[in-house]
Amino acid sequence: MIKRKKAQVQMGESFAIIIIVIIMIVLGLIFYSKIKSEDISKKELLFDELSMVELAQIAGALPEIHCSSADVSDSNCIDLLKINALEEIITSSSASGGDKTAFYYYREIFGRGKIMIREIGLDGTINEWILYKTDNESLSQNTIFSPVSIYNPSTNTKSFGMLIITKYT
Amino acid sequence: MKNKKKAQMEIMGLMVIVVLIAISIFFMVSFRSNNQPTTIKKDYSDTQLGTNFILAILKVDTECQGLNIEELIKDCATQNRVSCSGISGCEYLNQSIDFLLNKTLYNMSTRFNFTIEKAKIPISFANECEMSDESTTTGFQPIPLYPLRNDNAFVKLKICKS
Repeated sequence: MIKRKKAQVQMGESFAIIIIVIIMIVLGLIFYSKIKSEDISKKELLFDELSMVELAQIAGALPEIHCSSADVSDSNCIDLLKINALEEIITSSSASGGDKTAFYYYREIFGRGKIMIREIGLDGTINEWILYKTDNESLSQNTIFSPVSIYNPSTNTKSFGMLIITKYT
Repeated sequence: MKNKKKAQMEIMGLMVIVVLIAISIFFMVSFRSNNQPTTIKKDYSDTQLGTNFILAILKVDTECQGLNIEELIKDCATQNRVSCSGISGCEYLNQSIDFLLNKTLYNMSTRFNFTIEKAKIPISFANECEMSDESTTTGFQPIPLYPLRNDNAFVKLKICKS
């Protein structure tokens, strides 16, 4: 009788230990998965920021709008006439019924976002050109501002401008 | 008696394991919370502002005798002979730079400190940023004053950490 009780107590003890170990394993797995999902969110943010920087570098180095003299590109300078021309090409391409080749080409490069140039004249005038814009605007967006010099070949003068690159996430 | 001691020892063993696990979880959580959030975009954006702003502003052509900002700085740092619509070149320069900063860096709530050294009048603008504050980037451009002076004027733009 005593031996049976002893055996039952020992079995109960082993059973309790197994249950505790299982509970601890389950808690550990839940904790690990929470930490891992936090890691993944951080990585997602990091990749979003990297793609934003990549887009800013591509937009800032577009040969289609850079100033050039004797085939030599001038850094940090964009040509006003080239801006007008590129804006015209992309806008007419993105319009319904138009040949969408140019728009698709730039959509491959820029993705979902907006590329805008703002000229700030010393006389208070502000001119803006939207070079590229996708239709599906999102509430979540990242913007980078890059100062540039805007050269007007007609008057041979330069003014201050901002290249505003927005990426929708 | 022996059995009681044995049971107590077993429970002590279990408690030690639980305490060890709790301590390791505590250390893991505290190390993770020390990780700084990523600032790649902010750093790149500030670097672009700091370096390109000066380069762009120096090339701006003004209505003051057809001179650009760089030429006005040269005059302001040497003879200060230029006059535009009744005000001196230095005053015109001050107003133009103030205007551009208002339309750009002030509007974007960027903490910055912009100075032109060696100018005849102090040209300095700041938005919650002193020269001693920690900065993300500092743009710097020397402007040679030769042949009028064997010296350089300096344009500095410091973008402070926000």
